[in-house]
Amino acid sequence: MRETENVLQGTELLELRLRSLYERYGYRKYKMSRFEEYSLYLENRNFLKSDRIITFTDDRGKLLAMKPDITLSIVKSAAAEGAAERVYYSENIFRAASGSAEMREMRQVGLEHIGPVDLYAESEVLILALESLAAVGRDHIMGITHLGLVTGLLDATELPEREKASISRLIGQKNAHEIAALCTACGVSRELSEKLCALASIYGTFPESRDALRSLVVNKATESAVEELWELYSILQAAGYGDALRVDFSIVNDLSYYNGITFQGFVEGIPESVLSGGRYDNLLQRMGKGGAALGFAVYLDELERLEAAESRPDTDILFIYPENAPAAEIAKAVRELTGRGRVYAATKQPPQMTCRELVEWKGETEK
Amino acid sequence: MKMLNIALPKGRLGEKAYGIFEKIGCGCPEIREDSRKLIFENGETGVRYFWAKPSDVAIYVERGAADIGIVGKDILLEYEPDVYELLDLGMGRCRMAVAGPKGRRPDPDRTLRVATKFSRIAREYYESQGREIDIIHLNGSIEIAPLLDLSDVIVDIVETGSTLRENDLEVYGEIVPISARLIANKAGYKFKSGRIEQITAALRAELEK
Repeated sequence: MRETENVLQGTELLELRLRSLYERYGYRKYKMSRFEEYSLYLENRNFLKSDRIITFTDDRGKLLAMKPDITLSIVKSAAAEGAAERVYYSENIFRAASGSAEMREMRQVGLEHIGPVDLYAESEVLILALESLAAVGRDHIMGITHLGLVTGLLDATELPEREKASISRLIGQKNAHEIAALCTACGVSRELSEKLCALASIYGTFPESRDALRSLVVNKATESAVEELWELYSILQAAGYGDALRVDFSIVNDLSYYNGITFQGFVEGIPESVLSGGRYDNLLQRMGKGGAALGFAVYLDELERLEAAESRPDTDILFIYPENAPAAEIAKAVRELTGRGRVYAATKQPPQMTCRELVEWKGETEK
Repeated sequence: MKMLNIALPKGRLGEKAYGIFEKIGCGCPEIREDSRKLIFENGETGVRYFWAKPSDVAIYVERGAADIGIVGKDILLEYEPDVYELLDLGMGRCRMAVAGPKGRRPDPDRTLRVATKFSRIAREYYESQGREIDIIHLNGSIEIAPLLDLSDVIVDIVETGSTLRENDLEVYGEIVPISARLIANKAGYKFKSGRIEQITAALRAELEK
């Protein structure tokens, strides 16, 4: 393993660790082609974070796209009925970077659990998500929400879809003052309006949020959502993961694809989420498949930023040999040195190159 | 203690907002001194301030260079940064409005030429009305555009309306009221939620006084 760690750096090594983690829990690697028919994304526009997609026509005139997303392809290929897939992937995707219009190639590792989903299956995926965050080796936090609670409260307002979408967007911004204003303008009862504001503002560990969560129950849907969150929390707490969890309803995903628990992971030092996932039974239904599914993705390109901070020397051993030295003997000397680490051989020290050790070879074999 | 980075918009609004931070005990005496320094730190209270161009505050916060910041709602609507909006400070009140030459109304039968700094706000406003428009993006002195017949109307921030009056322009309609907001980086909030919430609550209490 040490040898692997010498070569693999930062996100490459992390990718290897994540893959081995998912394998140990019975997930199989899913290798897919780089291209997908464009129509798949056209039909599921809102599932994607960005609607900018690189497209091209193949030799038979079919419109193809460079994959902006992996989940859709996995769901598409899953069996129609009674599918039970446990797969993980590590692929490059192509999408516009957040806050910019430039297209980028991004590395994503993730897993999908399609098929019967029970409480254990949910907690397993959550544990794997938390372990994935821990593998980065920094302080991490995972926010978790239950969309059933959000939709339950929104439905109780009996507002038209447009207003509900606005409120849902405001919850994502923790913008309680505008939720209150919108509710007043639309004639939503004071009680419900206060609950929606509270929902947007809740942020804390489960024990801290206990009372606030309980106060949000207005109907059956919201009650079972709160119960499910607590059950999951107790399982994760018992497994020793409770401290990293936060109740956070500002994670809003498109409600026509996602339902149930949704989560997002953050790592100290990175200003964006590095992991995102949740339950997506609705997507399965939209694609004509029954059943339940959940999964998550880790954004390795976000994590690359951590690497820059942890620099290592350009090489372990800088090997300087005289210009007239016989090549065969240099080859022999270099080969011996490679046993001790990375060797860079040159006749003089390249400018600005850093090394752990400088070896100057005088021409005679060192014995 | 980890520093809490705060981005303030250069200008009157930023100075007024800083005044409130000072009142709730998050001040940084250095900032009042006339110097060429760009970043001001108070090690005791653990805050670090810096001034930025108002439209850049949202970028600093979205990208995590600042944990929180003060920014006008106009900027939030125009750039839609992925940040939390925690509080309406209620200061720097003005409105986003459509204005044009006094006593005239543009011909509804023609594509409307709109000059503005706020392209997205203008586009969304007219889209909601189903009106076809031609956006002319300008970076300043928007009021000149209709005077020189570069555009039929302008979409801009109107505070007192005196600039409009002096140039024989008037407000045709209001799009949205604007005021300063407290925003926070989504990841920064996760790790510093205690302090950010504490500051938000203190600011809210101070403003309600």
